[in-house]
Amino acid sequence: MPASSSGSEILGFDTPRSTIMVTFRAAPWAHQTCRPYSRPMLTRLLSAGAILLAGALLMWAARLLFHSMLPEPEGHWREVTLQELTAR
Amino acid sequence: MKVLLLGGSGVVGQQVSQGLAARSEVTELVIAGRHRAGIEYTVQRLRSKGAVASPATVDVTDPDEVAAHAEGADVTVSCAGPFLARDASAAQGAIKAGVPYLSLGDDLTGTRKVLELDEAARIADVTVVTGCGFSPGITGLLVALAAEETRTVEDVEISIAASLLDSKGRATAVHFLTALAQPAGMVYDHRFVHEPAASSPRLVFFPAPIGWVETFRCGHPEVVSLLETYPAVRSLQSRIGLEERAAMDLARVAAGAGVGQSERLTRTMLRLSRPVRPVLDRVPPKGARCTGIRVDVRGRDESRSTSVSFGMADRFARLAALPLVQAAIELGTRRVSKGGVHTPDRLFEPRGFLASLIDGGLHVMRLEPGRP
Repeated sequence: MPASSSGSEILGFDTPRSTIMVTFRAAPWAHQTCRPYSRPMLTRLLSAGAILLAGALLMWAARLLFHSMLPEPEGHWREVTLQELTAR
Repeated sequence: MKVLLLGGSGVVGQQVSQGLAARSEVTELVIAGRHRAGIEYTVQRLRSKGAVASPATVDVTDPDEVAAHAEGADVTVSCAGPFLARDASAAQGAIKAGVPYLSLGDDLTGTRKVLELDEAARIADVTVVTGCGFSPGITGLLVALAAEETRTVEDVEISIAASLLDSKGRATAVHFLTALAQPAGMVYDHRFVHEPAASSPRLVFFPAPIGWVETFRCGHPEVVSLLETYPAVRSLQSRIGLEERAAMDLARVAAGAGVGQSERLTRTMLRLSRPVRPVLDRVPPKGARCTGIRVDVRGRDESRSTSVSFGMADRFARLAALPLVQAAIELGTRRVSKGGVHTPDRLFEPRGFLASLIDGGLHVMRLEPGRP
């Protein structure tokens, strides 16, 4: 039986009732073309990017929340009066 | 006294126009700027309060156009920011017309350009004052006040706390990003050096209701003007921070990416970020809806080291407008007149000038050790 255009070899046909079943024996190199390596690589890169972004956002949120834990004031502000300024 | 007010339709410009109209010395106001609708609106508001005001469309970047409108005025006041490209051209126009000029000029490069006009101003015997807002302006006067106590001035640090909720003007935002994008000119170990801006984070304590704000180095004109007044200073630097920390982080990222290097790019970025702004306004910690100034001066009184810190906290427009209005009255009435280019701390007597600001409703604060 001749090989198909995809490189797989058609082994036979079966027609139980209304369904036509075609049985294939895949060519030795077929899995390489049907499951490209770029797809899982892209998925992995996207996942890594999402994890990094989530981490950065968490750290940024922590930094913003940290603002409430500020040190004690280094003194107190007192108003300078007009008399004080014009005294000299 | 007739006043030509450039940039009178902006946030600060409107406050200045109202401040000038309220003064008995001012008899006539000409509100000038690029946007006719904004100017007309300001003029209508002034007229409704009984002031004599008229509109004029002026391109501030054209000295001849400024000169033509300044003829016959007693003083030209400029709020037309950003000042990088507008301060020197407006000053040139006023010098040409022989009319005293003062501006809010808060751009490092812009201030240098105005200082270069010193000889022309001296020859024409025209008083030019640049940086007459709160920073530069009030900051220089507070340094002068502190220097009276420390006798010698060794270290000066000027810090500004800005708020997104307080200063909503586009020119202010452009200036803020420019200050973070320009190399920060500073004095370190008696040498003038340029350090990367938006670097060296440090928490600074401002008067209430602001409190602690994370500040960063920035390029600001005080460094140039104060170095002329205190040439033996060991360190001198300006710092700036936004009370809204999330917005400050984004501004630093934007400045690091080159936004702020050109006005067009900065304006585009601000336009694009407009939908994000309401979100940033809500991200904690929220700002105090007011702007803060802090000046730290360290020096030596005889043998012991002394440190004096002054601060102020008020609405951005008031802090910028009140010193400008007071200076306009001083120059317009010729109570102060000295041909050449000056900064407020070198032209006005600090105690008297600050007293007039307190009279106008501002509060000068002083940092004291311990709890009240």
